[in-house]
Amino acid sequence: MFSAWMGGWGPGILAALLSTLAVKFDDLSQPLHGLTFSANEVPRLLFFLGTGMFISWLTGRQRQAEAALQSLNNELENKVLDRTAELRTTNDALKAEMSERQRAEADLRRTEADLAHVTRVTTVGELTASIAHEVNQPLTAIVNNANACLNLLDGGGKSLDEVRAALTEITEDGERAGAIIERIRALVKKSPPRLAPCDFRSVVRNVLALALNESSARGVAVRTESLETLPLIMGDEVQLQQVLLNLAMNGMEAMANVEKARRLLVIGARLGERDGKAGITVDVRDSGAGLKAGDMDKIFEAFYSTKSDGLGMGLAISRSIIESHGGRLWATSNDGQGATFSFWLPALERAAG
Amino acid sequence: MSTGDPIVYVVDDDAAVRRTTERLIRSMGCYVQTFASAREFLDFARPSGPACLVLDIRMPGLTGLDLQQQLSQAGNPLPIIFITAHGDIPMTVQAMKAGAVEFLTKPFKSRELKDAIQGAVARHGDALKAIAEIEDLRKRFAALTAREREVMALVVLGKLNKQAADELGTTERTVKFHRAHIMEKMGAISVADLVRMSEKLKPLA
Repeated sequence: MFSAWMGGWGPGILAALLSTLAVKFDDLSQPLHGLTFSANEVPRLLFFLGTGMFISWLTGRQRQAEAALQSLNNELENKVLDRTAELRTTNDALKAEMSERQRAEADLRRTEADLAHVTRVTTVGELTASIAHEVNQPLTAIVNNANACLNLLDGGGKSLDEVRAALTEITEDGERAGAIIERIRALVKKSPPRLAPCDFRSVVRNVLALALNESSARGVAVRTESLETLPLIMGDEVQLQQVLLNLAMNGMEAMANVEKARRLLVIGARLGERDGKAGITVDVRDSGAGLKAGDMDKIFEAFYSTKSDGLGMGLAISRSIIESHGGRLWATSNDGQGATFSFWLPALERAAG
Repeated sequence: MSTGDPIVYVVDDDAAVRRTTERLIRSMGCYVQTFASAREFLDFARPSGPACLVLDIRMPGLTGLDLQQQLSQAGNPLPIIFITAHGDIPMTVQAMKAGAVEFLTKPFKSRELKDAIQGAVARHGDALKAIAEIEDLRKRFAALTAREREVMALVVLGKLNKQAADELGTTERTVKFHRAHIMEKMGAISVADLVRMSEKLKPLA
């Protein structure tokens, strides 16, 4: 019986048969006579044999089931291993792609910054004559005052108050000239975009300081509107100056063929909301030739210019700068004459608490 | 300062340049009046008397060249010293053709400005004197009677009294009488003097 349990189906049957025989012929001293079965012994032996065979069958089935389970287990484990390896490969590829993409994005940002820098330098180049004039004014004032001081001292130095006033002005004009140079240096310097809380009014002030001379040379009157209270914005001041300078220069150029008395450039900054977000809207309105319907879409494309000597980069770069600040740049035709270029920038969200 | 002292007008849109140019010119001993725009200068009631204009060429609105043109169209002989930040040749040529006395590049030398101002003021003084003289002559000429003007026209042509009398259908004696009146009214000391006067009156007559 035990053998049947341990041995399984085949060996179990054999063991059952042998055990049955052993039960019948337990007296080994009479082997030959024992081969006869008495009728009353048959059911007992058959029962014993049946039980042994049943147990053998049961254990056989159990063994089989265990083996099948084991093989299924192995198969599953292999599959998991395969799948894990596959996943690892995919993951590695994904990581490589991601870093490649990050590199490409960084390259793009760098290229954009380079391009912005190049156009900035180009703009400053176009303004050279104006800038020279702008620096020359305080220099003239300094030389005038110094000469006046010499005259006053030669005259006996009786008017020392006048000499002191002149000397005070000399220091102020020296600082004024220095500030102009500093503004130019900031525009020309190649530095990565740096976002900081900034007051757009200071952007307007710096651009006006650079462009006012250009405007007087071009016979354009410049007016600013509603700049009293503006929320701070997050931005790179140099890049924002570049955008405003570009729009102002475009506006002035657009008025070259307009009668002098009508050449007016208006720079306005106001509160503006967009998609439920607070911000500021800046408009640069000219009274120039205006925009043709077909130009409206193309003007923001790179290398498209309505000017004969235009590079066609200014507006494309301006738009990319504004969009990198989370804002929008667009153009509209004025009701009367000319065009208005506007951009919106989100206000700096006040820190909680 | 008496009213006869020359005045230097300075027109420049840049406040610092305007203020310091004023101080410099004042330190030279001249009387200065400054203006921030050409319009402001035109609106100002200028006293008569020798003066000159120190004018920035590049200004918003009316430029220096525009102002020069307006003054010359009005027959104003005010000498102009242009000051400019650029030695812009076409502009210089245009300004000089229109009668600018000097063209100084900013920053200018004190000496150059002083010389230019002195020259310009002297020139203006001469021009004013000439204008006053002509004005005076015109007044005297206006005081002549119609007949006297006819006689004067013939006398300055070198006609003798007799010839003039014949042409006018009158007597030599009457012509002589008119002639004496003409000499007196015009303040001429000789016929040659009268001829010179009539030359001066010609473009105005």
